[in-house]
Amino acid sequence: MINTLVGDFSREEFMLSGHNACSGCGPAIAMRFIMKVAASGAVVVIPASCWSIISGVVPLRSLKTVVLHCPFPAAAATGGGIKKGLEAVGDSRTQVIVLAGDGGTFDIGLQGISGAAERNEDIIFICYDNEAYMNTGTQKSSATPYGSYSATTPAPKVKSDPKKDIMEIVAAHRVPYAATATIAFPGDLSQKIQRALETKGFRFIHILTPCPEGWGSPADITVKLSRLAVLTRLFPLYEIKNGAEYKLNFLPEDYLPVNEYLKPQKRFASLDKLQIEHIQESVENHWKELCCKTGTRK
Amino acid sequence: MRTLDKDGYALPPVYQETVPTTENKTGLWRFLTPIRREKISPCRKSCPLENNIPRWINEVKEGNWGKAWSVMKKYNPFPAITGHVCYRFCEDECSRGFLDEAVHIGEMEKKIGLWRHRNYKFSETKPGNAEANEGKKPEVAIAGSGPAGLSCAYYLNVLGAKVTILEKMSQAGGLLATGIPEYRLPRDILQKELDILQSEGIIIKTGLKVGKDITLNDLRKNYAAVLLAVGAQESKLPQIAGDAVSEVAGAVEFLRDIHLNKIKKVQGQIVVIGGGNAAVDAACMAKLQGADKVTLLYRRTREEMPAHSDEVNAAREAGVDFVFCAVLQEIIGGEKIQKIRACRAAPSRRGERLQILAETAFDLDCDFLIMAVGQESGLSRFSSLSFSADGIAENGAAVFAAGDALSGPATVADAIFSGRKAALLLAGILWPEKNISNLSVASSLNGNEPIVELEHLNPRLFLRQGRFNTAEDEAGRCFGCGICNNCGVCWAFCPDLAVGGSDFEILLDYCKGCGICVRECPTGVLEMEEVSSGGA
Amino acid sequence: MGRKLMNGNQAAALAVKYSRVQVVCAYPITPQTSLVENIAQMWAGGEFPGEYVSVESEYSALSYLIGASYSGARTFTATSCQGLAYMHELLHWAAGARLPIVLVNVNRALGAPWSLEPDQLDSLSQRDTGWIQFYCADVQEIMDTLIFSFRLVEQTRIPCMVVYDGFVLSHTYEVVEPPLQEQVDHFLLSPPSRAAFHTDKPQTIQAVTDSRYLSRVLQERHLSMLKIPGIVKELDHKFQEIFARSYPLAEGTNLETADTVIVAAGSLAQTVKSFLNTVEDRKEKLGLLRLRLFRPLPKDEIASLLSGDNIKKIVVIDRNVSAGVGGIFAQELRALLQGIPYRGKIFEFNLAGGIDLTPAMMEKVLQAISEDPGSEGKIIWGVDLQ
Ligand SMILES: Cc1cc2nc3c(=O)[nH]c(=O)nc-3n(C[C@H](O)[C@H](O)[C@H](O)COP(=O)(O)OP(=O)(O)OC[C@H]3O[C@@H](n4cnc5c(N)ncnc54)[C@H](O)[C@@H]3O)c2cc1C
Ligand SMILES: Cc1ncc(C[n+]2csc(CCOP(=O)(O)OP(=O)(O)O)c2C)c(N)n1
Ligand code: SF4
Ligand SMILES: [Mg+2]
Repeated sequence: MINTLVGDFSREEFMLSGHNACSGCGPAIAMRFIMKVAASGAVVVIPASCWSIISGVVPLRSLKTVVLHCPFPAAAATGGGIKKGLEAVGDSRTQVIVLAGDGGTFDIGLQGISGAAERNEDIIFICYDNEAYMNTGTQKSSATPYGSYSATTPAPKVKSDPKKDIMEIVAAHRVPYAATATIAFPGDLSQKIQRALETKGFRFIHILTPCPEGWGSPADITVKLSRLAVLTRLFPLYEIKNGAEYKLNFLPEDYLPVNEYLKPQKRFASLDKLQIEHIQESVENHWKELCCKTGTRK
Repeated sequence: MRTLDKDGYALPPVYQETVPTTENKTGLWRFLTPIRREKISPCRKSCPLENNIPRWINEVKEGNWGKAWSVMKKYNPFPAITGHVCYRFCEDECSRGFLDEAVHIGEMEKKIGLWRHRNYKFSETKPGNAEANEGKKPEVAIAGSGPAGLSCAYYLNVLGAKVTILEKMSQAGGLLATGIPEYRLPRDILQKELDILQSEGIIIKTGLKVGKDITLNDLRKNYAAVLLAVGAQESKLPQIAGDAVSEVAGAVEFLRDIHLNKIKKVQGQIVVIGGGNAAVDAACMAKLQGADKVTLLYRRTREEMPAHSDEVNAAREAGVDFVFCAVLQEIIGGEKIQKIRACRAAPSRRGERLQILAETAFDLDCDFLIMAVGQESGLSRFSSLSFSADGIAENGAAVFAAGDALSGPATVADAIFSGRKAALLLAGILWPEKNISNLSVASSLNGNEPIVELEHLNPRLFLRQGRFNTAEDEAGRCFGCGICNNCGVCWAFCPDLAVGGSDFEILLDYCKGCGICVRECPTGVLEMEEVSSGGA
Repeated sequence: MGRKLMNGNQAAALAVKYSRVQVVCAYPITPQTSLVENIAQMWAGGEFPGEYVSVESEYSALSYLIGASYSGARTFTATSCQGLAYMHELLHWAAGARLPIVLVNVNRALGAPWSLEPDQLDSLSQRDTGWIQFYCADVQEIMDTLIFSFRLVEQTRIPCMVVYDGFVLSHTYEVVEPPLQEQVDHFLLSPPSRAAFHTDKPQTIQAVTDSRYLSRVLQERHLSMLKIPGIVKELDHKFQEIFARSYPLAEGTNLETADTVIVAAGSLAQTVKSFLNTVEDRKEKLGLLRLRLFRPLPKDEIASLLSGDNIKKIVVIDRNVSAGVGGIFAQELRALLQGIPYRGKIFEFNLAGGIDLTPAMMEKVLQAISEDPGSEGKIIWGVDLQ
């Protein structure tokens, strides 16, 4: 592997070709990375989401691991139950990984997550965030960013509220480990999965996964968008230990203007100059807050 | 799946028997197909040798020095030399320069050369090319042992000819020996190169001037083909009023005399006229050899100087004074030179007519004047012959020309390239029936090859990172423009696991044609094509 | 072990302990609360060795058990009215995934308006979720049915809901005979049961399917459900051997002689039974059919119980109403009696909202149906008779 941000990782695959994700699907890439690190010795719990399709329509399966499906809001509790059940039957080794969309995390699943986090259930909860309900055809979620089109926030009434800060919500539960990651930084992502595997208790990873279908972006720029999200500081990469110890994992060398990220996406097509400035400003404010918490000067 | 529990009850199906999605040929979705098409890197494009730089850097990265040399030698048999003296045009164009700093290509080239020097086993090598044409080797004579002659000799030897180099000077190497200052090219490097060539079976005869000690006609009689790589070393000395004095010399001659120890010490006030490498080197050398003061006069501005900026800076550091927009008018003195008179010119660009400014004359004290205002090709001595741009004698004789002799003063890399091209031309004469493969000699580009543009690359995949100390680490900074260096980025980001195998082939059964591999490819080697070539 | 005085919730908690449940996960709601508190008490005191997990909602409680049950653990939860409704999505899921979960629902009216009355609509509106449903008539039966259910679900992989009336049974003390641990161990399969997966075998469980496959799944579930009455009977023999108590699928009293049969489930049936015993020399010959296994409805059993020519009238008592249709038990019975020889009349007596059944009220009903044969097809509302 050349000296890039990609990082080294195993060539062993735990995902299979032939799955049904759209062409250029970000969540498919995320899962591939997650599985590389975590698949062996783990079971995966998937609530309703694009991934309930991608993991295979009977009789097909696209993951070389155990996948258990569960209802849309039920992911965190089901995951906790699986872990508890495994322990009850004498298996304390198998890791339980919940993979939910932003809908299953920020919205309908939030109560269950809060409960599981409070009980410090010994599971890894991974949210792949494609910033809307994609499986049902791009309706807004509370992860949909300000200014974005969706089928339920059609132009000109595009989303007027900012994205929910899920990391802060999770951190407020003082869970042992929480981190953000995205597909353009697989090395960082893998490391975080690894760290999560090595931690006990409730672990939360928020992965930004561009969705060409829902974002109206060309399929080939999925990874590029993920990278731009980090370079514009729209989506900083950081970790929170025990709800309090913040650590910034990647400090962009030069900050790109948010417009570089917004422009290639049709969902932001209706934004005007003022709105873009507003986004830029809120990105900067969030960044400042984060720098404060992480003790970063920049 | 039906099972019985311990009481013999039939249990309902809990497990769904599943099959891998690989049954599902998602390649059918595709309407664009990624293909690998290698391209010419900007560094290669700007290298006079058309050196396939990313290819050997890729080997250095893994510490495969032997493999790096195997790639290198097809383009450049003397990396130890070019690693020292080349002006590194490649680094000026390096794509990495747009991210942080150009890859230190020259340094790596030098290291490959030095590796070769260290690992060359004199005892084990058999004179001449072992496999090819044993017994009936065609013989070739090369006049001139500068880089052009040496390069042609090397390649012809590799291809299976018996090569004899005839050099008029007592020392072989051309300007490598007599022109380029030693602080830039330590002479043991050159010597090692010459030793290796001789050990490979190339005969070098020094002190033999073609046209004087042996005639071209004799050569043509005794050899299957002749190459004239006689350089362009004769300094043009323009007629300046009162210049018929002994303290005036051409720069090349001056340097040669220093290198051949004919000049032991330089004293007093030296004036150098000219703006090329020869002028700057001569000035620098004069200073280093003990001159009290060295002043270089150049008729245009600093920016217009043809000399490489590294050398200008070196000269400045050595204490050479530069006077720009100054034109030599007159040499003042009788038997012995005393002063020179110069005047000012309006700032102008190269190629523009010079505009002398009236009443701007000034004098400079001068004990010795070095003229470096152009060199003449050694071919002028063979006025009966004229050559095509490729160096083929136009009268149909098996005589060729290469290097500075053909092109006029250029660079070492140009000369080596010219020698390589000549070797392929000569090979066509020596073995007309044989198809010369480029396994051991790279042929030149035809100009239609696709070139890597910045937009093909993916610099943001990389972190900013200054140069590394070790070659292996530094090689890791190379994007690998235009070649597939098996970096695996296409594989890494494929959402469909449709890139497989050790050489990362596209699995057409599954590739949905999203194009992420093309977009992310850091070397620009992947492209989307509007055909669904094969697969499901 | 000697006989003990305890209420329904205490009995249920004990049954959970004896059944060596591994994961209990519940959310409190009146009138179930004391049940889970009892388990929590035993858990805290070390008497109950399983896990007791307090989650943040009924939704998560059942989700949690779905997870634990996927893993093969023996699981239990309890709830009531709103809580059961909140679990609705998961009820379907558990049944579809064939997870052997046992759930107690203590009947209580669903709001609005708020009420604590023992209306049955909460469990009855979950009748199509694919769960087995037992309606218990006394505290002993609660304890026995629960123990029985763990065996039943693990054998059939169909989840089971054990239902009893709020307060009337949950909080009323009766003398019961708790089992010995060895008896229960002997009766139950030893946990853990089969997990839904092998950790070392790649598998997707309950993935998206097409209609063909789904239809097969549903068909299989239906056919499995049809076998439940037979299995219950068979297991009851075993139960009887060990515990010396037996429970029918549906319980008939005086059916051979009765001309008027009252049909009821749960504690209502107990009330009717005592009414039969107390009231002598009356013109009607009364009988009782107690519905116990409601899902699947033991069709053949009920049909044969009601097949006597002596039966002329049937009065179905419902403490629930499916608005616009009527009592659910009544509907079910009407449907069941279609196509069997019974030619008598069916009357509906409805106590929806949790109206208490009194002997006086019973009299009024009997009077009404004898005076007005036209009341067949109409609902006789208990609230009108008060
Ligand atoms: C002072 C100076 C510094 C330079 N520095 C650099 C530098 O740092 N980097 C760089 O890339 N380039 C440099 N150059 C240019 C470079 O040296 C030349 O372009 C290159 O050496 C040309 O090679 P060649 O083989 O064509 O000719 P030459 O090197 O000139 O060799 C020609 C040879 O032919 C011999 N010869 C001539 N006539 C006859 C004959 N009749 N019979 C037999 N032998 C004959 C000569 O003696 C000479 O040895 C420099 C040039 C000068 C003058
Ligand atoms: C209780 C419930 N409500 C609604 C749905 C329909 N539904 C299925 S997936 C989905 C959206 C999922 O969105 P998200 O979690 O962001 O995942 P994505 O599809 O974007 O991958 C919805 C609304 C459901 N399955 N269950
Ligand atoms: S809709 Fe988006 S997230 Fe879902 S499969 Fe398609 S690309 Fe992936
Ligand atoms: Mg989503």
